Amino acid sequence: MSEVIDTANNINEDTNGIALMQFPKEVLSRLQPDLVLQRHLQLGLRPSNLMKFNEFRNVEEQSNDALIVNHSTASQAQDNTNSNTSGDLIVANNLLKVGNMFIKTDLSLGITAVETANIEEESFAPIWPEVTVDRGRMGAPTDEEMIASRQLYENIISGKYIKQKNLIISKIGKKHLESEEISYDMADDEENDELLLENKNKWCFVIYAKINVYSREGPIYDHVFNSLMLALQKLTFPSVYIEESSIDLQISSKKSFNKKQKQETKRTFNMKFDFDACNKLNLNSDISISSNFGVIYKDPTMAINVLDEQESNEEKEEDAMDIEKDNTDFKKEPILINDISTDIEEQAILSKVSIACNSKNYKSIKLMNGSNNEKISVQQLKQALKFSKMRYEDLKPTI
Amino acid sequence: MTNLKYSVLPNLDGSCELSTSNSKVITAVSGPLEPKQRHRLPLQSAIEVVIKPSFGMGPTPREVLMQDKLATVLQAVIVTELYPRKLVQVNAQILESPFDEFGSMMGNSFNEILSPMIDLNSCFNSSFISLCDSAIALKSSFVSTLLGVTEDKLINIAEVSDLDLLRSFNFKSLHHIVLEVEENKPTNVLLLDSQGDFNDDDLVNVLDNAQKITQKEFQNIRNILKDKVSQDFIWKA
Repeated sequence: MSEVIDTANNINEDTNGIALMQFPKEVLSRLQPDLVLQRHLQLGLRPSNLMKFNEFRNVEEQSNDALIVNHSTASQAQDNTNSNTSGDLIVANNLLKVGNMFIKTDLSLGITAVETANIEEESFAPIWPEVTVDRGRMGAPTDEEMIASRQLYENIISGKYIKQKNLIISKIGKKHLESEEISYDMADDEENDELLLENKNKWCFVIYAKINVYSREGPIYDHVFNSLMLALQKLTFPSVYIEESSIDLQISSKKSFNKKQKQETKRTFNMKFDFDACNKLNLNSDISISSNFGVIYKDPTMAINVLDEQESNEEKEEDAMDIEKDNTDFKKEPILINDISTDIEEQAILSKVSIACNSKNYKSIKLMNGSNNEKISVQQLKQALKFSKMRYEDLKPTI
Repeated sequence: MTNLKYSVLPNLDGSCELSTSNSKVITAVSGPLEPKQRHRLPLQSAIEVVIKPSFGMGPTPREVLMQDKLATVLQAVIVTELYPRKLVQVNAQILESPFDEFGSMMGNSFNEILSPMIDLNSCFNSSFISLCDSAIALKSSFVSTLLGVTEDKLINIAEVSDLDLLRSFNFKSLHHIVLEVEENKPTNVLLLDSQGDFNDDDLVNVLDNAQKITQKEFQNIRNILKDKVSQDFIWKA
């Protein structure tokens, strides 16, 4: 692989005085990613780490359970509800290393009121993702980040992973004043029952995902999705309880004592989370693994030694047989690339497909042909579907 | 039934208003225009797509994803080499969407996926007519189809006029397919956006049906374009 650019201008450099320009490999790959990719393809290799066409990057799941909320920090955060400087409580996380790229997913929980009557059996909960590609820049999210976030949001719903019903808080405990013990069974005494009954099935967890991508390499969506899926598997919910001591009756003193006074009484209380009694989230469907593929045509005219060949062919131009042979030699040949993994490949490959599947079904396919000359055919799609199934099987042991 | 009107916006190069049984969009194409410096590409034209939602301010991330899909397909279809250092701008305004009322997403959350797909499906077909109207050079034609798979049926969503029925479907998977049409025949898949639970058989079935619908739909579009050309070149007769 020569690092020198051979342009037509340079052939007659002696006569017209245009100097030969040389670029280092890194510069050339920025200026002419398609040329660099084509020259690699001629050699049967890919620019990143000399991978084969059907090779995927290595994926490692790094365990960093230490980062997940532990009991001391949980209780600390509970005690200082006002000074929420440390941000949200992280209930599950995942750190994925894909090639040289790192993806960190943190899942945190929120709580919201819900009308249980409106929730159908076949209603699936979303996750609210925020994807950030860290490159030392501030400001509004880029299109890429918005697209990845939105795609995650849509694919989590359509994949039917989390039933809305499973997020409803159906059991609320009570921390007794004297014993400091939390009981999740319905209390015997009637007044408290009323309070617990009132709040039963009224609240619902909301899942937020904060995803950071470091050292971005190639399209991020599929890896971000995989990281989120792996984190989702570990997701646990804390139990919810009401502290007896925090229950407070507020009677508005301004009102005169009339009949309505009783209804004006407002009861306030704090809902707290018990991280000692966590429940695992039951996923409605197996998690899926997403992988991407691209199609590019090998262009023999971009090969390095092609100029010499052309010149020699020009001499024999009269020979019709030779020209015909020439055409067949220069036929463009489609190549399916697995796991688009560098900026060079990302820029040069315009037709891409991303497939998420598990052992049973496909969950999503997004095929976009961005070039009229290099389209993904149905055959190549079939091949990609096969590879995506294999990829799921490959990555399953890490799950 | 798809209903469309072309050249509805007289001050633009090309425009089209398209209404299906359950959605309505208006699209406009301007180009080739002078682009901003950073959009200027030395060998081809830049393509800019802006989609405005029917409800609220946009484009929100929902529309940004739609824009990305539309722009990628247009990149493959428009002869960009013909307009170097220029810009082709495609604007779409969703006028009616079956999920307009805020809060109707509750209940069946699958509606949240269906709603942008319905909008985008109409945007695709409408922007094709707009591009023809604007006389921007195209490499091929395309027709977009939106299909839903339920337990036992395959539904062409653009033809469902009863909104309550549309909201009540329990879709297993949704498929948005844009097929390229060459020589009156559907050929390549330009965009395939499938979501939900599906297997290989579903996919084959969906692609087969999409081809049939495309064939039929394209005849309709072709007749409209034929009328348009005869109107536009009435002076030539």
